[in-house]
Amino acid sequence: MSRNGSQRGLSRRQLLSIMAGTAYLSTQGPLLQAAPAACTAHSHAMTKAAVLPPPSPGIFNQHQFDTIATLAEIIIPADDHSPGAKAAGVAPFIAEIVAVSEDTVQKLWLEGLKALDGRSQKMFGKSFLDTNAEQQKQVVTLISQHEEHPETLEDQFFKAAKLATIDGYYNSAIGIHQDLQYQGNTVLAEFPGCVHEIHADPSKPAQ
Amino acid sequence: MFDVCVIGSGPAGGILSKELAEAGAKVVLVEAGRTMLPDDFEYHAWPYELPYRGTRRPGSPPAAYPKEVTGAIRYEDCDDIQVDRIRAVGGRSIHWNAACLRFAERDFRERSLEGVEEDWPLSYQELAPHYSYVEKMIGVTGSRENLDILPDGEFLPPLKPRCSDEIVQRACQRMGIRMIPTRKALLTVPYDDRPACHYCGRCMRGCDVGAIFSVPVAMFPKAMKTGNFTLLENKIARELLVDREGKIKSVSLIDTVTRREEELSASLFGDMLRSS
Repeated sequence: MSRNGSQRGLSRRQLLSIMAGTAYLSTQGPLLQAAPAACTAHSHAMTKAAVLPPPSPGIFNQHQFDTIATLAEIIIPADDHSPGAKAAGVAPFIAEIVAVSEDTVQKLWLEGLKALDGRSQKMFGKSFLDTNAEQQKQVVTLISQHEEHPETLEDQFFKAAKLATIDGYYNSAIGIHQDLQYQGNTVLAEFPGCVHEIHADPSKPAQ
Repeated sequence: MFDVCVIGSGPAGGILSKELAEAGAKVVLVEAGRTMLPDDFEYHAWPYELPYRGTRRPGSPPAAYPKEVTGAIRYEDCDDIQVDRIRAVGGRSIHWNAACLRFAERDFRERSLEGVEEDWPLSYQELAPHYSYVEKMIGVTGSRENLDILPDGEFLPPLKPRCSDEIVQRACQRMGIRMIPTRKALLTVPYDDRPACHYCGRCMRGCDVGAIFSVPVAMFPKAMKTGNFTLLENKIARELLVDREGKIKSVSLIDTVTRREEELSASLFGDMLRSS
């Protein structure tokens, strides 16, 4: 998902120079009293990956699961900058979260999906999944109108779907590394601070 | 035999224990939680390596903490102010954002000035040297700004502004609002045998190198060196036991591993009246 064309983030050149500065000074081992060895061997490789459960549709049937995946991809589509929600596994994430959510949340999703299909039937005589991309866009445009002040079931469902899509996407490897090109969570020998003149003074040209 | 028993190894209890041990008292520090090892925290994990991609579901603690820590976190009826409470050696000092702001002169006199809260029984001027003492002990980054509302302290070099800081700064300038570098117990240069920050940006996940102040990293080594310091972990202080005159004679502890009750005494207990 691209934002604002040319003004995004670091140039390739700056990116490389920052990456070159990340060599870690391993001599800086502190003495965490409990486990000094673990600290002197400090490394920013992933410390301990959780054992993640395999993707499962949770409380959703296949039709519902596929509908969520399609809706999420409409909310955050793939483009020339980065892959979209489908590639980032947003639907499995949503299924996992909803499966452990309260009854009211589960009800919103199940009934919201039904309402989405109902709306699509009314407009095009087909379920949301069976309509074409242009028609899907029209349905989503309609149910997203009241995002700021959701009232109807459709409104609330869209808002929940959008927030969950954002959560799933921007906490995925694709969202963090490819879309945001996030620079944090790494070791910097020195922090250069903001190096973009345009941030301090928008009248300066973008670098 | 101990002179002093300190209950709770958070910032207050941890610093107090170290100070007393250095002053020559035999100190025993009692903590309900256990020592957290670096591997207990997902220091530099990515969200997608964690359950639920690291998201915090409503009413539940973050997925990134060890089980017995999250087990001890309680969100009670607190007006939706969700305060993390962790049961671990070092208490909240192993899980904090480390902001360290001095109270302003006027903060000590809010009742007199604004009719709210209570005036403090001491003034800023009386407290200021103690602020300095602690800032030098724990290492605080900041910049001298000469602001009445945020008195300057003993600062290590300030943090450089991030991109977002620059952008917010612009808006603040237009509105006539001063924006200053954050003041927190974080080392911007190596200090007191602790390394400088490596800018991973995960302060709240616990700082594995101790660039942020924590009791286990910054206080215990000093306390240990005195030979006067004993840490008892996994012991919940259940009750202060008193004698017939109402003087504290001991503290009743429950060992969380053996589930047995124990009694611990300290010679200074006898001099302390039970606070009612």
